[in-house]
Amino acid sequence: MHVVPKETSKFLLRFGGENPFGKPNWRVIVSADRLVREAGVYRDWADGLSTTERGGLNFTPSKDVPGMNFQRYDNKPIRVVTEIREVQKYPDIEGWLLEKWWPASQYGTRDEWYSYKAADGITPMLGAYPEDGDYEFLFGPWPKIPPVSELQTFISAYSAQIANKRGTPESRAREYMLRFEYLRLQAEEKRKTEYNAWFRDELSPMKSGSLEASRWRQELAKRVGRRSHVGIE
Amino acid sequence: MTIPHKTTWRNKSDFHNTSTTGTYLGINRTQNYVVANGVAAGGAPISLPMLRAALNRVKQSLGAGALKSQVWHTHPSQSQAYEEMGFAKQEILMSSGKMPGFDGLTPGTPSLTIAGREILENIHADQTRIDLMAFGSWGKVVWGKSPFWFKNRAGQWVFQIYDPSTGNPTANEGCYYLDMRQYFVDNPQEISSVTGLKVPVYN
Repeated sequence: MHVVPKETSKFLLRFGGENPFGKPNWRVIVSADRLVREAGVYRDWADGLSTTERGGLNFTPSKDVPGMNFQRYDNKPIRVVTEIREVQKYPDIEGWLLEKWWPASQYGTRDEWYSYKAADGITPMLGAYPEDGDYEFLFGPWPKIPPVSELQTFISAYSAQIANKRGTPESRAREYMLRFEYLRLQAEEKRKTEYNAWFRDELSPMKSGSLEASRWRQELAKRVGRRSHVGIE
Repeated sequence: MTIPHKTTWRNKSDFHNTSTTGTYLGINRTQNYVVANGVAAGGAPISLPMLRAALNRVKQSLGAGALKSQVWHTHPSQSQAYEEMGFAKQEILMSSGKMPGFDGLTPGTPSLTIAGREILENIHADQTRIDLMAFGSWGKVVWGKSPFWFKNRAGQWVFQIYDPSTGNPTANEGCYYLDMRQYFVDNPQEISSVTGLKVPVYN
């Protein structure tokens, strides 16, 4: 367990404020220390097995013919158990994180929370409903605990972003989609330019075997006074 | 077993399929190891618990170590809905103390994340779902040099189409773009998804 320096904790409480439960709105924590209790049907695998070797398919190129052969790895879980476990909330992240507190309402209703069942179809997989809300990762990770000045920058930026949102959620959604439409049109324009250039170079009627292209070539030949048949160049 | 030589799963996310009927690479989907993890939203708007449930299913199937390099893939409308919830950060990284060229109009920088995991926004993605993609588990079978434009015996790329019944040339011209790559996932349990999401308004 990593210890957060007192001055950092004090700063976060003073600058970010506290939630209705007397806890800070913002906190820094090391990812490895961020644990949550989750229930479920856990399949435990032997150490050293790759993800694919945990019941996946083993693909190998065919020797004599093109293509691949495959078969399932024989490995089986060393045990399958239904229980509550304390697991890392962010197993893929290493380092210090800045988390923000969210009220329980952000996690949906209790019914919704408990509706997500594990593989057995019975065990609620998300663990206990966060009655007092919970913290979620917003900034980081950092290899070292960031100085308070940096934390201040991130918290201010986030708060400003939320406070300065323009319009309604609907208008923001529309604006967001318009941005993508704009990008799509730009990409299409670029593609068209490329295709046109390619078409001129490679797909000229001089190289086409269609009847129309043949007529066009004969017409062109007539204009320049060539009397022999003009085939594909 | 041998990969069937067919083209139906090129550019399709068949492996992101939670169905327990039908087959995957000829294996019956009643076998849970060829069924991808997934959470059915049932028409509800995107919410944190359903995303967490999607991640947990991978964790419980294969262990916490299996949740490493996966990224989210979704339509911009769903990532915007997520951003609207306030969980997503918008971070502009500064190099040498200078702001990068941020025009405030085009998305891309800064990119959105869900719990530190990148969101790949795709205008062509299904608007009702968000997929947890594990590119490390993807494989590719290449049947030949491709892609390329087919040329007929006369070396033409675009050629006259003939009526198959009469043998007469028609007013149509055709061309063929050939792609001989097929993709597969070596462990469907490594991927997950949230399906049946409500499409946000104005989309």
